[in-house]
Amino acid sequence: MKFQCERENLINGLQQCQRAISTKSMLPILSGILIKSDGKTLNLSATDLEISVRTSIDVETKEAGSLVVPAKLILDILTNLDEEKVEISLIKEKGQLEILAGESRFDLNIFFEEDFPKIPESQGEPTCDLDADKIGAMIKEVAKAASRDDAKPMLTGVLVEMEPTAIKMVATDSYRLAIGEDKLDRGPGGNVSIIIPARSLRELNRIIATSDKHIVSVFLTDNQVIFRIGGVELISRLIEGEFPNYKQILPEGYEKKIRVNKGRFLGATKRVSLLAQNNTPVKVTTANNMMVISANTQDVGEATERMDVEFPGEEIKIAFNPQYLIDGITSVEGDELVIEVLDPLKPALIKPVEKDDFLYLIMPIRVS
Amino acid sequence: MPIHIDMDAFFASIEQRDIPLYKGKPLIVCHTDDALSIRGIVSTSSYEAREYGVRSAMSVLEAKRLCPDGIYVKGSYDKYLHNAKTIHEICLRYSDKVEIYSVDEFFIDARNSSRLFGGEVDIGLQIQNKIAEEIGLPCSIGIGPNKLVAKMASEFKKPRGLTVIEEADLPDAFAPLPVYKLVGVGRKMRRHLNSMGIFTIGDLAGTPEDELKSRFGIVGTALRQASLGMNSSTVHSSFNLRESIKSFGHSSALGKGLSDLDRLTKVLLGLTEGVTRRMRKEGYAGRTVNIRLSMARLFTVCRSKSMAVSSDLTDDVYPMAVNLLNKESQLLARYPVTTIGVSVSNLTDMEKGLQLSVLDLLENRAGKIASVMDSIRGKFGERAVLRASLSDWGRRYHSVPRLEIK
Repeated sequence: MKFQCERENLINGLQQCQRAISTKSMLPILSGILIKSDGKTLNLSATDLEISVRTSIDVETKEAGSLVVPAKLILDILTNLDEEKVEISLIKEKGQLEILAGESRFDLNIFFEEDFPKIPESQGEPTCDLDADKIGAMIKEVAKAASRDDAKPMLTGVLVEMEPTAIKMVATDSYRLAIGEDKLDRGPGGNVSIIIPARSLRELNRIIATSDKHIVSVFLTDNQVIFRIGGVELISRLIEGEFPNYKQILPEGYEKKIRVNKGRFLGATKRVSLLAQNNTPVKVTTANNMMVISANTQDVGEATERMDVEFPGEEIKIAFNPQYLIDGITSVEGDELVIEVLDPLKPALIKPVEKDDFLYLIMPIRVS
Repeated sequence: MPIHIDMDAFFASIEQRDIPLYKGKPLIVCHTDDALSIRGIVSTSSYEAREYGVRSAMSVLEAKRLCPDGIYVKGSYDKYLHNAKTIHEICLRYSDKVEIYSVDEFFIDARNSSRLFGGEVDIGLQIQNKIAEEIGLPCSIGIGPNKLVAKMASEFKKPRGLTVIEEADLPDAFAPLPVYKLVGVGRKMRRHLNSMGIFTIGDLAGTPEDELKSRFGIVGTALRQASLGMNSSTVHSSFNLRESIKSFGHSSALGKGLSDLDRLTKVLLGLTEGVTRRMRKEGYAGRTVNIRLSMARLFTVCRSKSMAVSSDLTDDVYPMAVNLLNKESQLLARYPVTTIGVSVSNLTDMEKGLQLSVLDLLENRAGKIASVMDSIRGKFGERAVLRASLSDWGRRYHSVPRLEIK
């Protein structure tokens, strides 16, 4: 294998792949990126067995071939070079990779393609196409409600339900639940219901953010999903099993709706939360056109902040985990939001105003 | 000067107070499911039993050999905790700075109130009298220039003693005592020190600091300072006993030892059931699951892992504990487990609030089962309803409850 390419291009490609590299892996080869040169393209791929990333860059191939190179090392070398172009070749007799750039020369030990795990390929027509910006926004709103606790693997995933004209994402760590919905122009032929690890979707979002392409093509296989954005592919395993029946959790709809200014509500919650230490909750009390957010921690102190709201009903006082409440408020788009409450033991709902494409349900903390 | 209050044979004194039949008899309070179990451990022995050589942490089997006519009873920890709470309240009448050091030991910093009550010695005597008068329990008082000395002083005269050690009495007051009497010197350290020719606290104080430091590191420096009666820790006020509880645990002694993972897993389930039952009873949930394995009585392995949120259910705690145990399978293949324990720490007081779960809205099976089992056990006894896999629990294994206090 031997090729010449722009140093910047190669760095970009390798950095895309680096997302799929786990620092915790027990298998040394998984710390490497598989590079394959053929004709005018160089294919790069990496995997941690849950997520894989594949991309390609333009190169001038002098001799076709493949090898696996340690990702961190080659990136460190390339970013420290000054030359515009680099030449990379496999020295077969030594089993080493040689990097030549100006007066610099590096010989690196490598792994071989035969030992690298096979990564599924996208085949045929995509199952559906998604709008990259819209899907990115939805992931951002929904994925943070997913659990980060591996003890409940199902809840570390996001349920993605698609119909020919609509998509829905649901995530819950069992203490809050977020649902995002949108219309689809080029949805799948039939109904699709899969659970994708939240981590994969967060990585997809990072790829979307660095890409200038606006379409995400989705390919579904038995237990994998492949997202293609321009020349980059993200491949993720799917979580098998049954997601909690979220429809059963959703309340019928509350009559007590409070419309608040999002920035004001968020600021107040963040300030008051400073006094909700050692697992103590923040309390939201509403009555007589007023909402009071309060917290107190024994031996530390207490805080309250009041806001005028339109809420003529009788007093309701609900306690929440401060972080869950802050996450819910920040998830809603727009300058205003609606919070719906029923009683201290029932979930509260946070929604955008006059739109029903997003819902954040938060379970209260029962206080005596 | 800190005042140290050390309850005399606390658990045994409570039982002797409550059941007159036990008075003046060798009484042994055991950590066990039932008093006759040979797997139990002596929790506290009355002074009468101590004359036979029965000591805390001894196996019940050994105690019975030393004192075959003793009265062996099972500890009622809720009752002891309740008494500790009352003692704490009595102490609080004399100063706002009261530290709950353990279930039967308290430190009082009475600097700000000593003039009011006539000095530390008077406060000590008054507390001793009040505890005897109001709840009928004996205690010994130690007063010293710091916590370490006060704690050592309360050991000088027991039961019902009061000892004051002044700055000027140091280090001579400690010098003749055997070195293991020093706080912080355990069985292992005692052996190390003896091998260096150090047998009394005086020997330790006479050993050059460099020599201790090169052998034990910073522990060496601390030991030598302690031998001279030097200590700088302060009395930390504990607000109440509820806040001072650090963990709930159960452990089981396995005789000669067990290596079989399946059987150990089952023991773990029984222990976890006991732990979560007690947590629900006391109103706590916890986030961190700890297991403790004593391997062939040679060494102890402790492992812990935290859950995303607090729980008081076996269904949450048990899988974590099993996971921790499974990770030690290589070790288990080489050494049998002689004692196994599970505990839950990082506690949340449910009185402060419990995070509800959306899954409760679906079908909170584990929670409902636990609460039904709890109410049956409350009415008909702890063994009235059991998990099927634990049907031989109690016949083959026993669990010993343990409450850790900050």
